[in-house]
Amino acid sequence: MGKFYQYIDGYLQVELTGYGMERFLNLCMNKEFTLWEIVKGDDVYRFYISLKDFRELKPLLKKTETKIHILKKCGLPFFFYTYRKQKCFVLGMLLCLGFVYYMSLFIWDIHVSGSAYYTEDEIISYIKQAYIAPGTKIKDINSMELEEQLMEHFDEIAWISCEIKGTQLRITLTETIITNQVLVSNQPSDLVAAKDCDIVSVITRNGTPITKVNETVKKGDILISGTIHIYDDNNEVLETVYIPADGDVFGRVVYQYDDSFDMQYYEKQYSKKKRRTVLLKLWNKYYKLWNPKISYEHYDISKESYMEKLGKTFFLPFSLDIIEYKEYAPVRKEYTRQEALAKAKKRLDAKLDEFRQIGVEILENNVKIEVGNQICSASGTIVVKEKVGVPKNLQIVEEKPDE
Amino acid sequence: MSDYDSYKQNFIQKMQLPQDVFEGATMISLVGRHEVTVENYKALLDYSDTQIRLQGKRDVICILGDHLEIYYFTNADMKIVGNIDTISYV
Repeated sequence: MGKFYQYIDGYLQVELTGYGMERFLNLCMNKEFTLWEIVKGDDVYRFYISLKDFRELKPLLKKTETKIHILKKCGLPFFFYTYRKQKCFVLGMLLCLGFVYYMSLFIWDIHVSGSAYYTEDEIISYIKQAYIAPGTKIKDINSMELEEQLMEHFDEIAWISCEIKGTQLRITLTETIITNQVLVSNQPSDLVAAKDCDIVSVITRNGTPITKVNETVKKGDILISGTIHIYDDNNEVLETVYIPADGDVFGRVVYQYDDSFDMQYYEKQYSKKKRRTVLLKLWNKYYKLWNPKISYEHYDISKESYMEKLGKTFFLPFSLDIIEYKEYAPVRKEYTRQEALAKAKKRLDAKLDEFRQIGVEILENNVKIEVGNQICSASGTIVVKEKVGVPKNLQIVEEKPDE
Repeated sequence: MSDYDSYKQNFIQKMQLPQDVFEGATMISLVGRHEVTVENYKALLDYSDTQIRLQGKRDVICILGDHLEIYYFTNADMKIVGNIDTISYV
């Protein structure tokens, strides 16, 4: 670190000649000047001295009848002195520093992490539109306010933190776990079937179970009733109570699965021909530096961005995008029997995965895959076990007492 | 040596006080053969690449060797590098 400060302050290598050189050194020592790398030559001393101390040497030189010659000048003051005439250079350097500093006062990028239910784009576009457009001054941003606003707008956010790092606004959030919505209401209600199904199991928590296991129900049939009759000793209804029915009813539901695709398809065969252009992004506007003539019949467009940020967090308000146009020729191809089977199987597995993800148990899979000349089709039924009860509010009919 | 001086030195030795602080004695620390640091000296008397003479409070310290060079030089201490042969009090 000492060397660094020496460089900032500036220092010199000098040569001392004359009569009382040792006396001169002792006087320097007494005046608390710092000398270093003192070398004795033939009747000369060579040493380094800081610029500040050098300016005060004159009386000492006179007293000891010695003379001093400067051999080398090092350090920042001399550097600036050398370039004092190149005004544009210095001005450019200062402007560049100023520009970098000025640009660091704004937000140039918004980064969202931890979202699953909401997409990142959804959150970012809301922030951009409602609160912060890129290019907002950092000091105008109130993280607390933004957090509150986001929490209010997006219901499923459980915890959120907004922080500003460099020129990037980082939003970290945690969402609430989305469960099968259980409507707990105090309204008297029945539990009715959401789908046509065979009942597999009934667990009643509240209400009168109407269905039995293995019974076939239609959509809308009451599974657990919210009406409870209280009987007296003579088996006559003494009182009727209406409550919100609650329970878990699982049913065996049959889904029809139909899927087909053409045996013929097109594949892209890229030729080696390609064209490029550079897109300059300044703030939020794009400028095409040149417009290449694309004479290809079929082509792909790909984009790659450069110079978006300095380091990890310093996002710049400009970037270069290289756009590439790649020519290809569409080639007509046909699936082989194996390929078609594999593809159909893959699609079916994706569908089954969808079921599994929402917590549905798959009981039977009766899908048959047929490979024809033109079309490969898969059709059949998938039998699953799932929760079928949904609450439906009770229409209470006031019974008129018999006359 | 005056009576006062001998009394003072006696006292410092008996009390095991550090001599460099109370008497202004010169401290010489030698690191290997190539580096010596001298503290509490008064003046530089002579300097060449084979001999450096320093004025202490009472004695003159003479460092002999070759390729001697004063690495740095301040009011409080000085560091000498080079091949050191002898350190003697004159």
